[in-house]
Amino acid sequence: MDILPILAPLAMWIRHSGLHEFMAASPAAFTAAETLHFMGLTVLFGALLVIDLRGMGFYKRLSLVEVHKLVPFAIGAFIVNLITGIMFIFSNPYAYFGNIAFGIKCVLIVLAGINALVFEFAVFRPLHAGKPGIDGGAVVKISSALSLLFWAGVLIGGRLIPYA
Amino acid sequence: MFEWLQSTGLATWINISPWAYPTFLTAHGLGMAVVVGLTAMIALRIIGFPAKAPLGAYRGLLPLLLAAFAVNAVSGALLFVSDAVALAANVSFQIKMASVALGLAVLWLIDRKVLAPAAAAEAAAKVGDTAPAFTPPGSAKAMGVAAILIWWLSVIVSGRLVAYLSPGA
Repeated sequence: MDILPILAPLAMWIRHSGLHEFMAASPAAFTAAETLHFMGLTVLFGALLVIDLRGMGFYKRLSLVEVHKLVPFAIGAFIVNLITGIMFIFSNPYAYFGNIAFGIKCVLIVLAGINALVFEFAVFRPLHAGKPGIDGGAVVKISSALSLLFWAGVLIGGRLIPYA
Repeated sequence: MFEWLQSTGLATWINISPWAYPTFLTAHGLGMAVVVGLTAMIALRIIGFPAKAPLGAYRGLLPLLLAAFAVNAVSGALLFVSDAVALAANVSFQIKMASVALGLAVLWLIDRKVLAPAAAAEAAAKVGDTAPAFTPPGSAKAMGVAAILIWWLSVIVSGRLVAYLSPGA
């Protein structure tokens, strides 16, 4: 797959950036970023598994309001992975912008983000405001299941970038 | 023995098939996310966050954690067979295997000393009890920190570096 034409100017700009020079010249920086990316994804998945499995109706003894306190860990881990992910792209933008697995991964991250906003505003905030009927409803179950599916897809897409 | 493993039909298939190696690697990545992620959440709760979530309820995460570990034991064994000679001699791989063994021991200890007693105490507690159903032993937080250091730091860092220290790579 060729690089998307709309991304060509961005790829060119990256190729002339100082961060590209650094990432391309330093294999250790790439390895370190990769290791941090793995540490970030495990925290992201750990927090999401507890929140989303509870949202789907498992582990009912845990209150949704209580496990929702893990959300900042998921967001913090995502930010670590966004930064380290951008470092990978800077090392070789053409390898990513023309990669189908990377493209699918990016689409799934956007879908997961939209789904997270649905969970926050259609489930958690009404629940926190005193509408217990939300818990156990279809919206929370579907949104929680989609969250795990989207993020599993993100992980699979990322893992397959070198093979796509 | 490692030469023999690497010469088996299984190893040849993993190395020749265009999809076998990426598939096992992807399964290993998903399993890692579940094993290390849930370990981190259990450890975090033992350390004290989120404080009001009943500790014993976290015991329910263990079957999922162990199932994911089984996925990674199988996928890891298949990845190992495909490159057995180099991996067996790889220092980072050796550190990873020792860390996994130690990590399993710590998880077993956490279940025995913290999660199982907490679940039993919570099940026996009566409605209206004001005292907490279960007070973790003083060593519980140390076990939580150890679990995070072993699984999240040692296993992941050494596992990632296997790819870079392999003599054949």
